[in-house]
Amino acid sequence: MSYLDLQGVEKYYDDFYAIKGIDLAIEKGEFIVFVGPSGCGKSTLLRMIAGLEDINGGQLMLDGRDITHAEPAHRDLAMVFQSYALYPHMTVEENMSFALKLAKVSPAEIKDKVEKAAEKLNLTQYLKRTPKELSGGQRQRVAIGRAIVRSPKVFLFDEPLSNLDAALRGQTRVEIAHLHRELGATTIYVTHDQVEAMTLADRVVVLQGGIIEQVGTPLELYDTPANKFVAQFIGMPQMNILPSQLFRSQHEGAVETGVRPEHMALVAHGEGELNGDVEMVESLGNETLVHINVNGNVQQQIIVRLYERPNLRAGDMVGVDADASRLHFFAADGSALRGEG
Amino acid sequence: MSSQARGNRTTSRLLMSPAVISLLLWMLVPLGMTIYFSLIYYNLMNPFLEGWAGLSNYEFFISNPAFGDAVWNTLLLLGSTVVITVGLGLAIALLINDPFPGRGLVRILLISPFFVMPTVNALLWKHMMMNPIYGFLAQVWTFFGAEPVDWLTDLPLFSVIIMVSWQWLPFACLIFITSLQSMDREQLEAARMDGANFLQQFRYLYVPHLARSISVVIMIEVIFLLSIFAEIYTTTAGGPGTESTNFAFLIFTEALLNFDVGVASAGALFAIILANIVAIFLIRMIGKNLEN
Amino acid sequence: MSNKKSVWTPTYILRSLSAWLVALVIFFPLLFLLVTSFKTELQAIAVPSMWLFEPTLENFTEVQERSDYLHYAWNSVVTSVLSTLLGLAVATPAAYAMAFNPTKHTKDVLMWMLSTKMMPAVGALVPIYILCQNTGLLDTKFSLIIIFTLSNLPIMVWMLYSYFKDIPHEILEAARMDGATVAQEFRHVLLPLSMGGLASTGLLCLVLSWNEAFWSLNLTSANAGTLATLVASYSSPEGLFWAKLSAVSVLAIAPIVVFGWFSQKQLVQGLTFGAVK
Repeated sequence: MSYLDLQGVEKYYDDFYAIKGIDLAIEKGEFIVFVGPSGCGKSTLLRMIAGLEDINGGQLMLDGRDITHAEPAHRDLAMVFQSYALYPHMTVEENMSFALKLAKVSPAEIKDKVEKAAEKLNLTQYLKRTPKELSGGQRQRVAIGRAIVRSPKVFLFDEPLSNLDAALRGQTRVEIAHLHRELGATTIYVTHDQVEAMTLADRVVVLQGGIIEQVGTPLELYDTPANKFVAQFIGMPQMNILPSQLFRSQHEGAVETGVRPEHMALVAHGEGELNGDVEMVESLGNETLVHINVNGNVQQQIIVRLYERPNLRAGDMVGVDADASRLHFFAADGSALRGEG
Repeated sequence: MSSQARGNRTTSRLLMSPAVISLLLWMLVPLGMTIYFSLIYYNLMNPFLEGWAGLSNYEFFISNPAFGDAVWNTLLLLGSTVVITVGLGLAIALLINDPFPGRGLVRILLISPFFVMPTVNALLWKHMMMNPIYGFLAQVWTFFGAEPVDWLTDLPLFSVIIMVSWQWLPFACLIFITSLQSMDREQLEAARMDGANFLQQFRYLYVPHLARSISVVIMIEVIFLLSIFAEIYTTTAGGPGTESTNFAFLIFTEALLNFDVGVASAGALFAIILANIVAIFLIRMIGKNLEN
Repeated sequence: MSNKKSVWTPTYILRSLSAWLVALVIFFPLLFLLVTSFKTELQAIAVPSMWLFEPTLENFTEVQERSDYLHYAWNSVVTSVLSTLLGLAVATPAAYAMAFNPTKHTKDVLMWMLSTKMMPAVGALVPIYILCQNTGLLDTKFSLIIIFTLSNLPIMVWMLYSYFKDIPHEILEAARMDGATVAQEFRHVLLPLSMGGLASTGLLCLVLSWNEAFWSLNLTSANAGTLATLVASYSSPEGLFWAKLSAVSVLAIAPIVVFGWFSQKQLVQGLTFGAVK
């Protein structure tokens, strides 16, 4: 049995079936990321694991113990909230020691743990301040510190970076990855940002409409998406998906064919697998994204990623070839078709 | 978002029960007794008259010519006070919204009437302000060469409206000031760039921003003004005639001056119905505004 | 509060002056009352009103001697303070449950509570009077405290509810994750965060109870009478003795008005019922 086990976990509200039977096995020390569009149920699922939402069906096991209906505090989990949820009337030190104080840990031990966590998070000089007097990044670290001092079996993060600006987000992401390596703690991290998912996760869980679309390492999801939804959700810019008949290589039962922007090459107009006119050229320096309307059809716009700087402008006519070995085929129900075509 | 019930629904009900049960009793016990009294003959001056009265108490109360006046006076008193306090309150709030020397003291002077008890308010206006001979207003009228007004005799209801408005204007005013403090300056600047004059700014920026506060003020005032009693009791005693008798005072007259508990109870039920009509109307109109 | 940017333009001066004028007009009746209370009876009704005279404290001493002001003041203090504390004790848990554990019916319950406040008190007068009479509670502080509490309860629940609703749920959830029991959550997190709300609510309740006139006029007399009844007792026979009437009025309102001045910011903040963030 794995460390944290979700077995057919369900959640329904009065007239809404939010989480439709989730099975997921998480190993000790793993960094798991729940990702999906807003409303997919990822935060709800996290809050169910935390004990902040009732689990209406199924079972939740942690380290061999059934915690399906345990009080949040008795689950041996710690959570970092999106808004940080620091206690505004307490100092950083008090915020971090609150849980231990409630658990009647001795003051000496509390002091020791808080100091160690503060050191790890670069917060030592801020211990006497209140959250109001801290920057966003510092508050974020206090929230993490509050979780660390409890040495929980599992860390839960609910979109922890969404309140930070872009630069700080990147930096904090690296810090969280570093912290995870250092502590080796099992972590579940919810985000809607696929960059966070791809860079942090050992395994990514893609959720949609209260069910798991796919579980796998970041590269598995990228290279072999289980269905059209995952294929389009992972990867920036999105995978191009067009009707299969436009392509030369076919696959039995495939209705649509997908190809990632970097697996395409430009050729002369009329000679490509696909042909069309350039809608826009985005030059990003290291790469160039060329938006092309296939057969002049705006509904069939694709993006080609080039690592050189082509001499193109809007309105130019071009042809495009797709790398036949990197095509993804999708059946009418959206599921991916693999194997010999 | 329904989070897992902390300590579940039972705890929640337990926490609410003292408030809910006491209010339920507070409402139902008097209501039940009132309904009972309204159906029997019950006159303290005439203990021999007893027994089932049917609806005769109601008929008696409605056929009292004061009934219509009382309904009208109640609504007029309520409506005028709300209009006056909200209108003037907005004007004054806008006037002192921007800083000026002594603003803190002005705030304190302005809010003072809100803390004055209704009996003092009434006596202060009845005697020292509105007395037709010695009153301060009479002196002002005389100073301008006008004939002093005998306020409580000639304009009894209006006089009561003045007193009540004086008491509630500070409340409205200060709520609006507090609300104005949170007004978005950039929005106003943008409006000025767009060429909006003050009236347009007022209409399109201030009023929408203040909508919730206005709702709160109206709600609170209705709650307190629907049954104004002390001001009338201490000044006009409902008169002359029934010119300043509101519903609350009419029932009081029946109960404690005519000692007719049966008729007073019938009246009380009418008052409750009136209050509910106003309440439903109000909650429909304003309740929405109070939600997030 | 002075704004460095403000320039002494004509509009600015005009606006400042009119603000002061409005404030003085509104405050004037109280000033007049205060001044009159230091006059002799003859000076009080002089026309035109006298503004320069030798102040006398005679009225105040006479009010105390003749009608035992301190007795009524004590009743006012006891009834308003105790009903405020009782009200907070009952309203806080209810508001907590409604704000943090809302159900489909929470809004309805709240509106129902407020609607009980709209019922005219006079409708309940006869039954309550008879109940008090039969239980021997007529003219007691106890009955006033209970009645003040009940009549302020809806407003208090509403006020506290709007305060609690502004406290982020996540903070309470964090406390739950940290292992706080309901009582600990209340004591260590909710209470410190809602001190302002509790203070505003208590202040309002104190003011309303102090100034309550309907029930005290109708249910009490010599024993449990509050300042509102004391003042009313000066209305008819002594109506023409302005100086004494003013003195008793000043004595009745001074404690709560001065108290109100000091707490007005807090009070008004609460009275916005969350309408102003």
